[in-house]
Amino acid sequence: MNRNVIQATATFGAGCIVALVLTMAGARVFPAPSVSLPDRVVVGDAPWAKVQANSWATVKWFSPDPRLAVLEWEGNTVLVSSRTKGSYKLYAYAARWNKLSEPVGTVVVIGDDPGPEPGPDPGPVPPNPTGNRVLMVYESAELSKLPPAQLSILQGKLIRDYLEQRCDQDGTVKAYRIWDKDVSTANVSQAWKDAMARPRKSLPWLYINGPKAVFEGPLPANETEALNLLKKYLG
Amino acid sequence: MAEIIINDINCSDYLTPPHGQSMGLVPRNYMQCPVGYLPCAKPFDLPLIPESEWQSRLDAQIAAKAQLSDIRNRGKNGSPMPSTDQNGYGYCWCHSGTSAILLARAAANEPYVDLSAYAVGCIIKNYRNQGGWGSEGVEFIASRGIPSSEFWPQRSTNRANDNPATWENAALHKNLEWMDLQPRNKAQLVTCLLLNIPVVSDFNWWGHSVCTMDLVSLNPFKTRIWNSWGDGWSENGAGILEGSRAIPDGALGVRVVSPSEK
Repeated sequence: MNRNVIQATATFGAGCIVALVLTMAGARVFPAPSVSLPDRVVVGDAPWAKVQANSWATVKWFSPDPRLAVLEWEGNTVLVSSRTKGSYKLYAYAARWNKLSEPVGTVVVIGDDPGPEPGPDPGPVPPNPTGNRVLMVYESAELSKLPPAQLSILQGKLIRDYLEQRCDQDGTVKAYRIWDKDVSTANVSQAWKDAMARPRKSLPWLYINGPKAVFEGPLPANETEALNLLKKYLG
Repeated sequence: MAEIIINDINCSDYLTPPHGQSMGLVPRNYMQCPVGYLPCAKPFDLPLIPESEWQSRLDAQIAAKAQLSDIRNRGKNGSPMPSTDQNGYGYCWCHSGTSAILLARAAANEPYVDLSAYAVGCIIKNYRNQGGWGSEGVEFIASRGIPSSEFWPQRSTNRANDNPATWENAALHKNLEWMDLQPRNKAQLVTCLLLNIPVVSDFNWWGHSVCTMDLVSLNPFKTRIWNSWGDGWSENGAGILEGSRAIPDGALGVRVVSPSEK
């Protein structure tokens, strides 16, 4: 066989092997980019704020709300601003080597901070047909360790006044209760037995049964956050 | 009527109850009944709130209108819960526990029930007008409960009230978990009050047992008590004890309220 043909064949074969190896190693040599954002950015009353994405790749930004102005600043940082107070979703994704990351989002708050997102989704728990109902559960042995701001949620007039307005009538009182985790439910209605039987991951705990959704989660840190959360679920 | 303040200077003026009223405290014998002697009342075991935090926590509690007196003032369907009235019988030591239950229920937003303290005293003392101490009443309340006035009318000593229906109703209002405070322990008392834990308070100097509701101030040290002489006494049945007069010789706090629909 012609020597040149042999040489060309060998070179081609080697090249195929190299290409095969590189292709198999592609996931490690060219990893997919990733990006992360803070959970929320509070602009408050400032004219603008910076939002920085954490990524080793190039970050692209978009907001579904045209009222939020997004200006590329430097690196993976943008400036955000709006004339209208409110909460806006801002998304980012990373791009490198023709690969894109999944978009991630943050909440940009213009004006007063309404408090953090409720955290867990309402989840699979459907609203209880027994109506607007709130249960707060605490551990009496740990009461003295609770911050005063949280104690105010359990004991203060602000929250109770709201619950008096928004909770449904439950016999001679409104449908909210504030119980130690060890109370006996032997002498209460089934609705309260069911609420008390719900799993709790920590204490103190808040259960809100609203007209459309249920919230179950840790008691907020203060009255303002608690009130915002209650209004979100009870109206 | 203006809120009465009882202190070291004027306390002798209050050693005689108003006309038609009574006291009835027999000082608890701590040799025979030491702290924790009752199964329903374990020794106080809450982490104490540091004294350095007392003032700020009191300020926050007052600002939030989060004291037991605030809760009492709307605890009956938005209106003040009426004071109990021992009406001349020496059953203060039953009324103090009853008042504590009323407050604990209101704090939990339980339905208001007009609980009848006379049922407790009548059964324990076989209808005799005799004194006792706070934990004696608490022991009964934890064991058999307190009936509503629907089953045992207020201030009634009628033996016909003692029937199965009454005690079936009373069982709805057992309070099973209490805390037994050390006698004359200010830090334990303040911890309870800053956490809205009503305290059954026996005052040997007064010969009287009442329910302590609020911490009013630290300097001078003042607490607000809910007396059992009706709403006509002091301001709506509640008054102020100051200084050493405010520290109880025997005290129990409600640990866990027992909810009920009625």
